[in-house]
Amino acid sequence: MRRLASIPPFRRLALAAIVLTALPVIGLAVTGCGHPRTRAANGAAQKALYTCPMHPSYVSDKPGQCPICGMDLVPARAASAAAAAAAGPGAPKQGPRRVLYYRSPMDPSVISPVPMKDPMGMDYVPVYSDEAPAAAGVEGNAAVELGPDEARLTGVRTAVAREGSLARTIRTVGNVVPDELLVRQVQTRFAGWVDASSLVSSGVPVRRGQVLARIYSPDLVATQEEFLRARDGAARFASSTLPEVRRGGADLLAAARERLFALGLPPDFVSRLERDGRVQQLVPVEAPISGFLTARNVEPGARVEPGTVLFTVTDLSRIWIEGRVYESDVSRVREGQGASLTLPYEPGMVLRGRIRTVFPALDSTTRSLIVRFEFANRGLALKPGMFANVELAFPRARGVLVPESAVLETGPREIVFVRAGAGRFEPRVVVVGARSEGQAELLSGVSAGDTVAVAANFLLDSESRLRAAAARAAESARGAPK
Amino acid sequence: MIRAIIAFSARNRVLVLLGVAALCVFAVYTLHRIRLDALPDLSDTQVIVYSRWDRSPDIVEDQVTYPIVSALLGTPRVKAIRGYSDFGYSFVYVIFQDGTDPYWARSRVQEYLSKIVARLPEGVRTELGPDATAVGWVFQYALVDHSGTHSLDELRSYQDWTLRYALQSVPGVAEVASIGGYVRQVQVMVDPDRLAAYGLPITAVVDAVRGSNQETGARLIEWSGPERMVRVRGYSRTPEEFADAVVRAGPGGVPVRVRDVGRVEWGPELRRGIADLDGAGDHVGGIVVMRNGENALNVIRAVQERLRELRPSLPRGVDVVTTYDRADLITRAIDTLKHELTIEMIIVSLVILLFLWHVPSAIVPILTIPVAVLLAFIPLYYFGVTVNIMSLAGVAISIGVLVDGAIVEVENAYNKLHLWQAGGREGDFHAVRLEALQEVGPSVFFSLLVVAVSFLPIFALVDQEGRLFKPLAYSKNLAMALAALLAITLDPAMRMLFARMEPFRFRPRILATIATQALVGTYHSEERHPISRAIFRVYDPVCRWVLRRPKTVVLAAAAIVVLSLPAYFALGQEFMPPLNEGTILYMPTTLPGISVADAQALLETQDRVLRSFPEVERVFGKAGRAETSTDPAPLSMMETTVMLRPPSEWRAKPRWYSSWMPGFLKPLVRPLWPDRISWEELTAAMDRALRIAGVTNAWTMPIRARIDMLTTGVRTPVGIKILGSDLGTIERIGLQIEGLIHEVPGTRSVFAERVAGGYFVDIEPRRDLMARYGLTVSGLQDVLSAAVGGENVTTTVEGRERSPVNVRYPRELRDDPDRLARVLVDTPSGAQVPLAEVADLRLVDGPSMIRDENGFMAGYVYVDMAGRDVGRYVADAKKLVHDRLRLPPGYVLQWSGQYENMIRVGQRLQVVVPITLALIFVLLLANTRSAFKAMIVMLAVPFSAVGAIWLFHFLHYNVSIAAWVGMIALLGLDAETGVFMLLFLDLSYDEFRKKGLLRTIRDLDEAIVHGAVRRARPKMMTVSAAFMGLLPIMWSTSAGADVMKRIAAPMIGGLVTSFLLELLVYPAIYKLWKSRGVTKGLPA
Repeated sequence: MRRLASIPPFRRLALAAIVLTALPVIGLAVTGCGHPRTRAANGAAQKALYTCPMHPSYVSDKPGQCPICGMDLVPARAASAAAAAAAGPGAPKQGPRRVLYYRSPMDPSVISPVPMKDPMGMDYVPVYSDEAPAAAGVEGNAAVELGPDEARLTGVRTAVAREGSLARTIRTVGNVVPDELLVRQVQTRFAGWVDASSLVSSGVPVRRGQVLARIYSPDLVATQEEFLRARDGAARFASSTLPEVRRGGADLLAAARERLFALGLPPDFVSRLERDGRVQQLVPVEAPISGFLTARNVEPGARVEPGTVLFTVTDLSRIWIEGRVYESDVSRVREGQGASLTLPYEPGMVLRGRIRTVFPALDSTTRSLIVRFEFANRGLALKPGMFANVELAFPRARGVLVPESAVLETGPREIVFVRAGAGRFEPRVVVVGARSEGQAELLSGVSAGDTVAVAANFLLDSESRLRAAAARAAESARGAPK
Repeated sequence: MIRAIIAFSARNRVLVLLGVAALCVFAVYTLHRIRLDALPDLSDTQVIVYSRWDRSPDIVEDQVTYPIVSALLGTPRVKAIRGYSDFGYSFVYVIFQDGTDPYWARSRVQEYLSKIVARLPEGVRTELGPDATAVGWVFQYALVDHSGTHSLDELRSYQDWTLRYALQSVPGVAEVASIGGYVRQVQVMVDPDRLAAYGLPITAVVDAVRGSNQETGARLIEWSGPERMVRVRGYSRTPEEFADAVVRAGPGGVPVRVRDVGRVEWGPELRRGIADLDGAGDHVGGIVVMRNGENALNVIRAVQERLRELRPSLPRGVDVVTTYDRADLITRAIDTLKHELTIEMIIVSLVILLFLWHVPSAIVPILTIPVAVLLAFIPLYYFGVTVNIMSLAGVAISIGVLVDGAIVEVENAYNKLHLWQAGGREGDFHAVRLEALQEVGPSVFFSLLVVAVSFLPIFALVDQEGRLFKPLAYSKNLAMALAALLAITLDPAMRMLFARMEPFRFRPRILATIATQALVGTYHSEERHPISRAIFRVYDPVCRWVLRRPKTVVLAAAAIVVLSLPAYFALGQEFMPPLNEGTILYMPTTLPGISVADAQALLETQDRVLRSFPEVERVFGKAGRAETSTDPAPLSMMETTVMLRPPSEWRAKPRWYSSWMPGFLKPLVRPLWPDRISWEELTAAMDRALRIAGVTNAWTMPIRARIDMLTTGVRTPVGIKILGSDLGTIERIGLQIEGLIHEVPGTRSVFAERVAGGYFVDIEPRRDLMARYGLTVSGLQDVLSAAVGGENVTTTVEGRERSPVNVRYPRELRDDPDRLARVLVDTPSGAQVPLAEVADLRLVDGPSMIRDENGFMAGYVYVDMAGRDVGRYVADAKKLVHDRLRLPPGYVLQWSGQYENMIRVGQRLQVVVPITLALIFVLLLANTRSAFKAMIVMLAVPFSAVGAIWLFHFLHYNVSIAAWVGMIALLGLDAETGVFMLLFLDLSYDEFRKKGLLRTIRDLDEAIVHGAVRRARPKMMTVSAAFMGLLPIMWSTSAGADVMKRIAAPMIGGLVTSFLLELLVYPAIYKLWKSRGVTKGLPA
């Protein structure tokens, strides 16, 4: 009963509520339009952008949370610069001319963010925004502007690109071998037996003319005797008044001497024989050159025949190195080219030499070309059989050089950041030629005199890509059908 | 029944008191054993399968992640399997349905994993991650060498092989992860030229090294009595020993040893994580990872204790420096809460004392609070709820409400006794008192029950929200339930203790007066009480004014409610209220692909700048990954923990009072005008100081960040997963969808993931050229992975320590593409050819991380939307994409995202909220026995929302679930106060009717004024107890206060408005309702 009685006033209440539903519309309109924060945000020409600190590639035009990780978005930095860069060099510049930086009147690469005088007292020249060198548009990368503190923290350092020549090197490993022209074999031209007493052992250094062995050769004894007879005869005939006889004696002697020489006896042996007149049972074999006795093929008492190789003497004052050059480098090597040599086990020692021979054909198994280098062997540091590292340097045509660290390879392309005004770095796509000794040769993109960033390039690139992404987002926000 | 319980308790008061005392003792015991942490663990039940293999992401994906994911697909109770492949790592997250036991889940994963592990490529190390998450990073330290004699690799060895194991054995520690320094490695650097000269392949060196490091046994021999164990020694321990290993015996018996073809020395292993302390360079650090569900505080204490024990055994001059310690936060948060609880209790006690001016009555509610709070820990302990900021906040916000029951009971008894005294002391006052208690007992019990029931929707929350707020709901409800129980047991028992009605009369008179005041008290009528008088003076004219124009008032009230709606929509949204952890986590990020050296330089610079702030105590930076599966951070993400000095030591900020106000007064104004720079100002200053090109800064806090980073899939309302087999195609489809979704009305933002970001050097074998040398692809790969990659070929055994041994070419022969092209490859024909002769080298970019979803490669499109029904939005978007996008065969779109969750939560709430409301309604109905009255009571809800919304607006708070929890808490409170308001209106109405005084509208007004104004005291008391009890929370600035503020704010705001509206609008509605009956002359 009471419940029934209660309904009408309740219905009246409900009615009142329905009437009042009109109010939210008004309320919404009032608060919606009048919200100071919203209006400020929309009214500004530059829309603030927000990005996730963990996923910088996500950019939104509203604050909120990152869709990927749920972190609060943070305001994206310097979207204005990005937008400006995105507009590209061709876009008409609006608004008043803005001084970008001041540059030295003498050297355009010396610039300052504030007006100043150079050492000669001349004023720096202002450079306006529309005068600044136009940036080469690089897709996905925008110019980066850094404050002095930011640049310091980021660790940006710069270097000036300069004209220069770059040496390209081929590094190869070589085998030390004796110079073929400095190897001598020692043979006898007569048969005989090697005397046991005076044989020199192998591996020792020998001087030129040093006796290496003595040989008993019955033939040679006979020949000596013949010589002596000829000498005596010549001496006898020398007193003859008959010129024919005199000459005949002398000729005989000369012929006998010649025979001794032809048998390879050393001249002082012959002259001593001639002087003393005593037949030597043992004939010495002397070293033809100074060097090392690298081989001894006879044992004491062995019989030697003419043509037997008794010894090998090798001169190591100059050696050869046989290195391998692979097919791709073959066209670059020339005879007479300079080369430098280092030894892995003797750091600090560098020898200079040159290419002596470039072999005419490739080794079929290793597919490499043998190149023969010639080096003076000072102090006999290089021993045949050793490995040595040889570097061949090729001077190249002059080009624009920057430190290698200035070039950032991002995969499909190579980028260099060029300073364009105080703290402003623009990305340029470059083509890199040779690289060597920490320098890179740029075939295009940068000209000599440009200041390039050589440290913290990765961070510059990141920043640049972030700004480009922000600019894209800003553009799509402008163009979005909303 | 409730009356019977009250009667029983009143009669057996000693029994009840003893029982409660015993329970209190037991509660203290559980309190010492209950688990403590800063925040509840929010992670899903997940098992991480963690594999390491130093290969690029796509190779890891193809050969490790994909096979593992596909093998795990059939695992029971699995909700999702997500794989991530990064350089050198594969993470497979197996996410189980809510409520799955983690150890059960782990054994299932292990079971299914056993199928596949044997078939993974050689060299892949696969393991289950620890039973912990990154949220369990409770303690971090760094090793600092003051003597300057220990190298980083020595310290790292000490950390890896001594300290780590010592700490890992502390109970509750799941894992101790090392970071920084470098792992010592025996490096065999082979000179390719010498290999070429000897004609040896590099694999020969690898085999030689591997073969020179083995130790074995030859069983036993028995000889001259004892048996002897035969050992064949053969471990190589030093680089020299490895250098002597023979590779081949050359002609003539001349051996070629490892030292003939290369150099062997100690060197650093490849680094994927760097640590830095105070910007002073590389340091060795450790991270203690706590097992899920442990008592963080105890674990940290035990770790610190173990560190103290270890201190004497540290290497000379080395110190362990704490770089992060969560115990600090936990103790501070608990201290804050204890402090707040104490203050609340004091305030509530004062309120009660002030209103009643009667000590014996006031003691009952005052004692009820601590007892109810204490007893609540018993069930909490047995439910396995951890004590953390959330659960303590639950207790804190319920304090004011806890005592309501006691207040009402006591007040009623007081009133009745006063009447009994005034009425000439007829009958036994014990009976009067018991009757008074029994009169309101059921109401009190029901109203407390309403508060508890109103929390039901929170139990319907799932996932992270559920995990975050359920502890709060549990603790609050348990405290409330206990308070309800105590209201009908302890309170009557205690109230009956103070049995004496006569004042004491003994000498000295003063003592007698004190004893009287404390134990007997004097009873004052409401009219004579100064506070009541003040209330009357204000409220009486207002109430009469309202009654003159009831309809206007009701309409105005409705208008206010309606006007508040837009204000609600203007509020921001957030998932979790901020918890000021007192430690900054600075998380700068660069684009992927940064090198270790660059990352280290960057980290040091940042740390140096941070360290230069006077507020900073210590800075510990980490770039890349610690040696744990709970840390998936790539090198491009740095995490720097900034330990701060206490805020009182921060830089001063001049305020209007700074110069003249005496020091002891400053604490009073400080909460309003802090004279130190604030957290926000500090991080803003740091942010300004740390502008580094290419780096995005994030300022967060350690726990918060770890919770944010738990892999939980798509975080936007809508996510579109593109599943397929080719990442390029997936990305293309993603971009197309991005364009399409823009057109769907309601879209806020769309973002399709981009996959690129990794830098690669691709070596593509040219099979035609290789064929000439008889070289196979695997032959080429063997050489390259050894020569360039430097595989670890064996491990040294040096006592407890182990170091990897690796064989590779010297750095200068392989560190740029040109040199790489010259790496010599040995061919079966014996020739050694440069790599460029048989393969093409290309620099390309590609994915730096690959995502794998249930066995497919996946790309996500994140969609944020607003202003529409999610379900319809998704239907529209689906239709658009279906109509306009042609998917290549084999590619699938999956629509997911938070909207699934939202819909699920929505569906649950659609059921739970009406049920809750119905339950509340039924309870109210049972209490008031009138549907209309119950409805009036529930009107308090929108009124309270008004205050909550505007207070949020005023405080610039965002709406989070915490706010909703506060609202829901308020709902119960409103219902409760509403019941009381209506109760007294009814009592007054009935009294007037009984006396036959209801004849005109004016009479009705009088009755209402009497009910509303004359009985304002109990209402004022309950509301001011609740209100004043919450106020100190809003003043607090210490740890944990922020979260509580978000919950308390709606309650405070809502209490004010709902109470005002109750005081003003209820009489008006009551008049509109009853006036019909009066005019008809039918006071039925």
